[in-house]
Amino acid sequence: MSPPVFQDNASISDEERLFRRVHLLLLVRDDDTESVRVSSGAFKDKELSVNIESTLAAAGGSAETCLRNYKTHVLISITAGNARQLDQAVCRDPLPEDHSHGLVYGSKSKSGVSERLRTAAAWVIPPIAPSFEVIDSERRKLGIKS
Amino acid sequence: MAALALPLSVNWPTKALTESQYDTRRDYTIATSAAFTNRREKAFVFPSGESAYQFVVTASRLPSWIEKTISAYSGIQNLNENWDSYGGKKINHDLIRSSLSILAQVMEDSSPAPAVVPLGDGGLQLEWHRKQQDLEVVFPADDTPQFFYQNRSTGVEQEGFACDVLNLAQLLRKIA
Repeated sequence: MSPPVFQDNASISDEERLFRRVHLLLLVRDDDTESVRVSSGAFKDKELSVNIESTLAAAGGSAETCLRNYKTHVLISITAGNARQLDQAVCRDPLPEDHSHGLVYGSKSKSGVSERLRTAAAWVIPPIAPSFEVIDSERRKLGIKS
Repeated sequence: MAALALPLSVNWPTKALTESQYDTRRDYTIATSAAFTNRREKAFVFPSGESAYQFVVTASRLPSWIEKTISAYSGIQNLNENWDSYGGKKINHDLIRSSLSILAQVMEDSSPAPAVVPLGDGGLQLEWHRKQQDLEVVFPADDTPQFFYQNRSTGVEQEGFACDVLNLAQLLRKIA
């Protein structure tokens, strides 16, 4: 059986924010700024899971909802337009426990697609990039080796 | 260049060793060349399930990137399933070996340590972000290892296969 192919859903506007949890191990140090940057490794999945902000809000959720029970993660966002510019399809993929679940679908292995998604990503929680020392200390506190 | 010989998976006593320990039995001066170079062989060991990885480093002075890198590998090697909350898989230990093998070929004494990042498919990625340049070497679970380089100042980008170690070593020199 061939794997599912997801079609772009035009009802999701280009401006729509798509939230993505990022594990602390996917945060790396930028030696130029001494701050943290999200690794492009956070954007490698062919079926990249996200939360669609407007659907989340319609159900009474918010960005904070995405991080509930995930102490080892931060939250970032890209827009649907960011993804489409890189030939990715943006679609809804509601799950029983997460109606706002969506996918950024498409190959991300070539031509720096994941790197460009990373560049487009904005910090949500925390709202700005923390210093690497803050993340390192948080990892230690949570028992994450790095 | 520090000779980082054989990242091999070995059967090792179940007594846990940490990344900060090394095998003293393998810390000795190399007889054949000691008179001229004072090179030493030192083995680092870190556990992985019931076995362990062993790195044998042959150098007169231990490059500073070695311990940081081993520590970083140690951090990702035993992640649980769903570690990323999106169904992320455990890191494939064959990819740990192959990525170490590439590192052994491209790193020099003065090379900066890479960030070692787990991937959701069970692969891993090595990254450097310095001097307005980014270098990423990706070891996906089901594809050929590749690298991606970009110079943020000039806009120059390059990608290729990680087995192109001469090119990779050259890019690393630019970033060091």
